[in-house]
Amino acid sequence: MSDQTIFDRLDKLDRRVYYWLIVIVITWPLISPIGLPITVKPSSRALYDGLTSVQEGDVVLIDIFMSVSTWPECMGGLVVETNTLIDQGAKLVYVGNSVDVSRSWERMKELVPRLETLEYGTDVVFLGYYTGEDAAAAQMAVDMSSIFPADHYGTPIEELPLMSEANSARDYAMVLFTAEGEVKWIQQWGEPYGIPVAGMGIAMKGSALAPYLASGDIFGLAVGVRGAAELEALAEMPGAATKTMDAISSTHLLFVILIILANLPIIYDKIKGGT
Amino acid sequence: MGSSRHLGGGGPHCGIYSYMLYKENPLYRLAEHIYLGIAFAITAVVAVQNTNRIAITPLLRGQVVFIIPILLGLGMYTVFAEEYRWISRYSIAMLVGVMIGVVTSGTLIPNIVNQITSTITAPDGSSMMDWFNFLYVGIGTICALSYFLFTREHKGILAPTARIGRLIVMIGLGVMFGNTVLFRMSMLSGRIEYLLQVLKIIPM
Repeated sequence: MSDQTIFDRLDKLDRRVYYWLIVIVITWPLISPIGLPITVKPSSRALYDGLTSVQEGDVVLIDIFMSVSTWPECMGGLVVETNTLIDQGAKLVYVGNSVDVSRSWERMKELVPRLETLEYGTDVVFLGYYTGEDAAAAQMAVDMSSIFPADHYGTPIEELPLMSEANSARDYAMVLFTAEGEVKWIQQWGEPYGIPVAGMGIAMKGSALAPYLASGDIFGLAVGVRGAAELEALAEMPGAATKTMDAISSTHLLFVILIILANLPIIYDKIKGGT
Repeated sequence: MGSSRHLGGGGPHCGIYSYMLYKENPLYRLAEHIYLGIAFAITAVVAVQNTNRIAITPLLRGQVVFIIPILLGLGMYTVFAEEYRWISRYSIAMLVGVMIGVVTSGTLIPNIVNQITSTITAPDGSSMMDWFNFLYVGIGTICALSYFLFTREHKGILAPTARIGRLIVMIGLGVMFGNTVLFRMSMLSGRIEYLLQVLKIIPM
């Protein structure tokens, strides 16, 4: 036992110790925020600049493609987007491709109380869930009312004044995607009709979305909770994402330390002449 | 009511995470079954509501054309009856045909033409970083493609390009893995934050 090196002991350590370590490192900054600095990437700035360039009365389509589990990643950014667009005087149309989109909508109304001050049907509409990906987006571009004969609450679409002036792609100034589902908007709205597309992707989608940003198919992009925190910094609205970033940065630092520790025995063995 | 609702959410959270610490256990199984039941119930209700809103209600209002998608949709279920399975082929053929038609028309420019154009177009900016990115993407794309060239052995000119290509692919996978870790940790952070709120350690 005494012959064991520190590396041997670490190697044999119960994996649950590491799990608890991760939980502690995440929990601590949530209880007592550290306030680590947040640098803003050009892609997030481009998204924010696009939001602030929206003119009063422009209609913006926002696709909430996030489920409840994705709230920590994207809800903070969606709140900033909504607040910024309300400041600009934009009219907002929300749709969603996730079955629990109504729950996300309710949560957003809690986080953006100003949504309740807008006149429903004239300044803001929640059309609710849709299915069909590209086929649905293509049909929405031609005739929104065929996909949404009524809004989420069952109000016929012809009774919503906003929808009579925003029934096809050409009536919209911008499409914002949330979490996923960006390709259908690029393919069915951006390319054929020239509608600017941008939004927030979950972190896993960051690499997949980067080529669209480079080619100009999307004009801005915020990736993951970091992107949401960047938007919060740009809008000077520190919120949930900013707080979460402390926990995420601390955890990543722990991972880097653990990766180094895990590799040290291998390097140690090689130096000693082992295989 | 509010606190009992949050405790009702907090309990299954602990149950699900207990799997990592104590493997399969009764608390985990209970939480798993509750989750699956609720998830399927929500999906079923939303699907029925969606069908009702988009097709059945307009049909009942006299738009008889909606009988076509309803029949095609019902045709899908004949896949479960061997005798009538052939009917489902019409539904599937329609679905596949529409999706191919819609996607193909939109995919060509953004996914192929624009990607090639952005890869081979030199940057407008004169900053070193722009040029580095341009060269990295351009050379990286050619080298990564050469790595996946299986019709010739990776010898001669293909040897170094395939080797660089493999490195480029590994860097790309590393970035994707890093992003995946970020995503998973964000989700874990969200759940821990929720538990802290339920326990009233941080405000709701």
